[in-house]
Amino acid sequence: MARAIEVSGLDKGFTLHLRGGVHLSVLDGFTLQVEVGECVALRGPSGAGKSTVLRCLYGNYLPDRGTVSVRDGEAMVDIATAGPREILALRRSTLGYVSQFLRVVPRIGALDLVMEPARERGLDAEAARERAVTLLERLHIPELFWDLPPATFSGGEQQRINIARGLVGEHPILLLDEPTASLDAANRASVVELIKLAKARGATVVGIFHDREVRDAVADRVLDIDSMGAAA
Amino acid sequence: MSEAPLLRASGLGKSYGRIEACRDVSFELWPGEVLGVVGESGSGKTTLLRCLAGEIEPSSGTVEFRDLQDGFLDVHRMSEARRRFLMRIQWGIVHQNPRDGLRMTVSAGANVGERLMAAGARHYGRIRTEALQWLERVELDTARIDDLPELFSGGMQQRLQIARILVSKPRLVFLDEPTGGLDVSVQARILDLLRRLARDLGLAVVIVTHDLGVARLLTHRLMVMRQGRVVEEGLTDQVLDDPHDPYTQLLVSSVIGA
Amino acid sequence: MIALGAHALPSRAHNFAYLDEQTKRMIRRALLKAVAVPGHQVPFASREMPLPYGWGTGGIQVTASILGADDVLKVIDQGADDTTNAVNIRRLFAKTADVATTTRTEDATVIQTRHRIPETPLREGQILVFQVPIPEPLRWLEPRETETLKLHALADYGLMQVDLYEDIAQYGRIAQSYDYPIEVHGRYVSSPSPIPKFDNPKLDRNPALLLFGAGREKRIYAIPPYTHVKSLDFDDHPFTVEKWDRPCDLCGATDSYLDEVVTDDKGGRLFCCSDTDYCEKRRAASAEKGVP
Repeated sequence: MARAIEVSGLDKGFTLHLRGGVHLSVLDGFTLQVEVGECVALRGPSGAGKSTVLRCLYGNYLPDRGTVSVRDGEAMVDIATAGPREILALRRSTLGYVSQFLRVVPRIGALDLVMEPARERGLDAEAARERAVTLLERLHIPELFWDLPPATFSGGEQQRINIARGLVGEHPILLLDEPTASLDAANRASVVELIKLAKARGATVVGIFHDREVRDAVADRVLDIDSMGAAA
Repeated sequence: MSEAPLLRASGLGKSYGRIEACRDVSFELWPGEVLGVVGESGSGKTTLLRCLAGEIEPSSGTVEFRDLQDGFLDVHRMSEARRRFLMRIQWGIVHQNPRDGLRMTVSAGANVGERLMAAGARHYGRIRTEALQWLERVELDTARIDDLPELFSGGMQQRLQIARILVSKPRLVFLDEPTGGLDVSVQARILDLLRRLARDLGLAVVIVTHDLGVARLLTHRLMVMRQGRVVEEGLTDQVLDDPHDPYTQLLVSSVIGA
Repeated sequence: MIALGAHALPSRAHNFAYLDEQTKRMIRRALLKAVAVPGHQVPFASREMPLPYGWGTGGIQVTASILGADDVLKVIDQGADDTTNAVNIRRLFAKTADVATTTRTEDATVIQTRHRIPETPLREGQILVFQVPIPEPLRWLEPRETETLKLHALADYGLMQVDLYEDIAQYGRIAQSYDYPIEVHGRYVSSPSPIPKFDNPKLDRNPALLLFGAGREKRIYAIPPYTHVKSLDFDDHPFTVEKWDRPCDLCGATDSYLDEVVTDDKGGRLFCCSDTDYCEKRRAASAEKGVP
């Protein structure tokens, strides 16, 4: 089985210069190995560093020490030392990310927003639209909303747009940060289905699932992170 | 990553007497990339932009541009004729104040058509047709093609500047606070336009702004400047979400919705 | 000893043609440069002349520098030999140079003109000296001299074309009817001086030497004989000249530039050739033939 993700000796802290240089250590010597096609759920108390792990994997946070390698085709690329262009290329081709917050782009309708990552992966407008529409339908976003910029959507609706955006690219590696946090049961079930579909096509998933049911439904393995930011 | 960069700055600096407006700036820019330069007033970002764009001569360092035929050219060491040609065809600068980037005494159509005419276009009908197309692309009312720019609102003037530059199909565009002084809805419209154009035309863009929201929306990479130096740089979302430099942290925490 | 004619005041010691010889040499050097680079404006140290700026001091200085004792001088102003300006300038040279003067274009060796080119075609060996108010064709588009110098040096004339575009956009046609910009020898864009555009075609490959002097602006330029001169335009809005729907009321000419003269306060007007010499000759010719 090939390794999809290899994190080793990851230290991540924050030095708050505005608070007199106070240093918060979040992750300390964190390690993680995920095989291709595996779905690993990160579990732990609030503030333990679960989101931090995902953000380090996505290149959104810069590790202080350690390696964060992800599979890109035949090779493993260390995100911790990769340059901005490399990381952007990986995000286009390999890494899909569903964050907790939807950043709203003014004037762009929901459908166009969702289509974007697929377009960036190289799909033509037609094909991207199809995929986006399928996702939006599964996530019960009414067609009426497709042309509207999501700024005025409810929290749950925004979250579903987020999820659609994260999944539309059908990336080999998916990083999911509380994807079902603001969703009702029906939509939670839809998300579970979508994650399963992703797994079925061979995607590797690392996720934070607040909801135990969802976690049990999709995770092959659970990794506990204690409050010291080490793998328990 | 085998493609060569389009623009390369090495050790760039500009001093006015004892005042160092900017110092030791180095970076590379690839086609299709949007690089943001953020910082507060007086940080040296506009001076940097003007050095990059060939408008002013740096005191130290070089700016190199990769010409399609001739490879890397030192922008400030080339002849004035060559540089002017470059600036008129392959580059564009959108100034903060539209009056600096437009000819206020001729119509919108003439403004958009100027680069074509400077390049030798001599067919009035065709020039006008192309001007109309560009006005449309920047969402200006084509019926106003013969209006003078001073009849346009600030946002419209900015869009006219953009059209005026893009008509020559430049590979590199410099933006100096393109949304400064505009209403938010107008800002949103221009940012949307810039995003789409940069993506559709594969432009490389250097944008100077003090607005972190604009930076997050438009840029791939970010350089944070303070008192003339680059204090932090990297992937935009990384610099804004995980700022390391004290000044960057201050900037990010000061801004609503950054 | 300079031969003094009947008009000369023997007690005054003006140099031949008013200007001192060193000044003439300086101007001739400028003229040579100008002829070597057709259409390019050459700066010169314009002197104080016995009439103010705006009255043809540039043209006068050029004429003074090239005039020889054997020359025959014609001076016209808006095509006429008999206006105040033309008369005074002719008198100045008659006084200080004792040259022969004439109103007949074909008899002149040097013709100084303000705002017209004679209708009678010029021939090799003749020199036409233009009085120029503003030598810089881009002046109204770009006020900075530092910038216009660069534009000329780099042959960067997009701005001029923009101006023509703007005319068409606003008026449906290129509205410039005099001082219409020209491209000289395929290189420099110049001002032909405020001659009507009707006269522009005469500039193209003219056998005579065309010299331009701007006294206030201190610039000299030239169009050597047989130089190609093109009036700027667009492919789909080509250069055209003025036409009248009636001939000259005095001589019947249909091929000359006509002036409109108001004859009474009841709306009466007549159209006659602006070139007085041309008109006179035609009238004399038809009188000879007995044509009414």
